[in-house]
Amino acid sequence: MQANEFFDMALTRAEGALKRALVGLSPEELSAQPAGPGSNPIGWMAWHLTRVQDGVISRLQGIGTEWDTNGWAARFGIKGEMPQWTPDNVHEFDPVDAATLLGYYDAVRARTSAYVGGLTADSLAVEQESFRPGAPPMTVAQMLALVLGDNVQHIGQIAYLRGAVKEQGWY
Amino acid sequence: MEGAPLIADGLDRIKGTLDRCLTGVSAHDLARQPSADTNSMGWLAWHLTRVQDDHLMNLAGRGYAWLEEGWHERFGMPAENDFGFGWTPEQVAAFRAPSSELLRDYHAAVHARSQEYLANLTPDDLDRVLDEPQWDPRPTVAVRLVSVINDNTQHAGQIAYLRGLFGGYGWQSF
Repeated sequence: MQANEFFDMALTRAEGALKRALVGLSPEELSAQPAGPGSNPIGWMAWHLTRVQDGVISRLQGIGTEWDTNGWAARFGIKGEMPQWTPDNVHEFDPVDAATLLGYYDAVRARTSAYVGGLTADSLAVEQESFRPGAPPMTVAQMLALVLGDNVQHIGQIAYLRGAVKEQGWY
Repeated sequence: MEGAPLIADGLDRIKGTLDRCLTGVSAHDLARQPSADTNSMGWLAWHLTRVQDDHLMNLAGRGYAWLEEGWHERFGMPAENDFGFGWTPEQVAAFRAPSSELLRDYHAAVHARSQEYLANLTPDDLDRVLDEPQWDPRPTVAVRLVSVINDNTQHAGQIAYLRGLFGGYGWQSF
């Protein structure tokens, strides 16, 4: 079994947790900062992890992102340049609603599935420039591991916050 | 890259997150629950490591580090293969990890055994169907490894979130 098959299995498993954690949350709950001012809201994290997957998978293919290609900025009410998100303004991010967040996620995930399904042992071993300037190159497989680690950690955080917002026993 | 190295990479990331997040954490913060009935950093780190110890050593056909290496004694817990499933909120609230160093040391011991197992895994091993008739379809070794990565990575993310919450923005030095 190749790394791309594992990646796909692991991502599928994690996104079940993402969908269970987002279902039925109101826009207010998606924007809440149950951990206090400056902390990441559920909605921002769902958007962010999708952007990470979108950005990395698109770059590996040398194509435009789903975000740019299909007008998601407008659907999220972002006009002009994307703000730099910091603890001071992360509460200003508008998650719209759970359906929009999951719509963006599903659109990105479909592109990811199509891409990783076509990877071979040789293409997984191709080296790519790292995202960090000056860092050594990474293979495609390592990039997939990076996306998986990032996305699944954030999904775990979303599930935790869902528990904090909805109280124990939601799961 | 074959699948097993991707899992090995995932386990390295989990250990890296734990090492960064559990360095210099006070006993107070290890046990802190940001709201009622939520899991503390200490409990999460203990639980995820016990899940990895249990699941990987079952696959390897080995005993658990928790029992074989006496980690349960250092945590002041009974010699049972308890990994936290089914604990009540009261039990979680009462859990105290002796120190962040001990959590990291236990995790390092489990991580080493897990990597040893993965290093010797063949593609055929990954397709082996587990004798667990309670599941339909019965899981393979690959499916179980994906479960562990998913469980452990989510919990590592939760620990990182709590560390940021207690330590304030900027605790992460990179």
